[in-house]
Amino acid sequence: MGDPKIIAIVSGKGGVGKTMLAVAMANELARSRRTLLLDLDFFNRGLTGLFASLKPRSTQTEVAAPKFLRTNADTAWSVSEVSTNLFMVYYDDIDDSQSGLLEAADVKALANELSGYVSYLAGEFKCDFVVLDCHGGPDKTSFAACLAATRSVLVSEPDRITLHGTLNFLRTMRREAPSAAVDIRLIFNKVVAAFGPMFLFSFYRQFLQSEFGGRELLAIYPLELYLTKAFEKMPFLTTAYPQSQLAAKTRLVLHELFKDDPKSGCRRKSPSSARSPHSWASTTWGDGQRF
Amino acid sequence: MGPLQEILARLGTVKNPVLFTSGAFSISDLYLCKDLFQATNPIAIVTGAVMYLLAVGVVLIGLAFYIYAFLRLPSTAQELVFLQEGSAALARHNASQRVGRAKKRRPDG
Repeated sequence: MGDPKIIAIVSGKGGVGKTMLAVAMANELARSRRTLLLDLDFFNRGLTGLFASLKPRSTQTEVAAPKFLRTNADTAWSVSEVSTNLFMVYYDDIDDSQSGLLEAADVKALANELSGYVSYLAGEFKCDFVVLDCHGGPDKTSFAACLAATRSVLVSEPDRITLHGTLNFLRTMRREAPSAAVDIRLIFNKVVAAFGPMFLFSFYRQFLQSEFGGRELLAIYPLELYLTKAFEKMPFLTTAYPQSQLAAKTRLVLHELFKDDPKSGCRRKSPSSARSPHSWASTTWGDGQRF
Repeated sequence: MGPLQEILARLGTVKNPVLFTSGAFSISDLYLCKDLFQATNPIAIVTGAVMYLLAVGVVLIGLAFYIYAFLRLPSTAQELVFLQEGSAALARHNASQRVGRAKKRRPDG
């Protein structure tokens, strides 16, 4: 098995739907590939809270704690399979000295350690993909996750405060790791009906595309209130609501992220079929299962 | 943003009423000019022709404006506000980056 494909989900502000997107992506990947989900929001731990109820039901496998947290030997880090092919990392609360370590760390060194730790976990559980759910805001762990990731996704909303946070995230990351080449793409999430997709694409091209290295806007997710309400009760929304925009767009996003990566398992179709309006639907992964 | 640009930007939010009004005006105008065309008085016929051309012109202008607004202008008040705030946020972001770069270039001590 080669290096795992790491997807970092970051944002410049909390509450934009990172965790929902991270779980949706991990759940869709887990349909055909072994996938690991790691909560890198050490302060809020929303993802850990979401899967807390599943922890007692599943078998726990103890794993080593990451070195960058300088954890005690008695600190428990474990991994359990919360759904078929989907592995979740559980750990205890971090203390003040550990959060201080994270804040004082050098981003590149932290990225190296994080990359090594994620590779270790992926190797232990034979995972092809790792999804990192980061803290909502510009913190060093998020920057390190972006540097360590194969693909990074910055989640934003079309409003002034979130846009300000998004730009601040990019600016701070550039300051913290000026020479690092980060493959980061933008997603507009929770988009209300007042915003047309044409407007958002045009806005992105006019103002933001250069900030993302000329890459296209990755996706626009509409606000689906029924999913937001159901998320806490059933985290695997793309399984429960396969016809939702969340499910359809997540499949497209994953295809878009890895279409140029031959090792990802996303087989690229011939140019003629790629032009077909339904080509995305026929995209298959490794074992032929629909992605 | 100058006053003309601001007016133009706001016009996108009224593209539907503009198309509806121009369409309704043209239909009623075409209906009215039908009777004038059938009159024997040449002045009435000329007036009917002018009204006909006016109706066609108004509907074409309405359509052209709708297409332009659909493709280029913000369609809702929320889009307009986001566009204005977004461009202001980006100007601040660029200014902050310039300041950051200038600080970096400044020699220490």
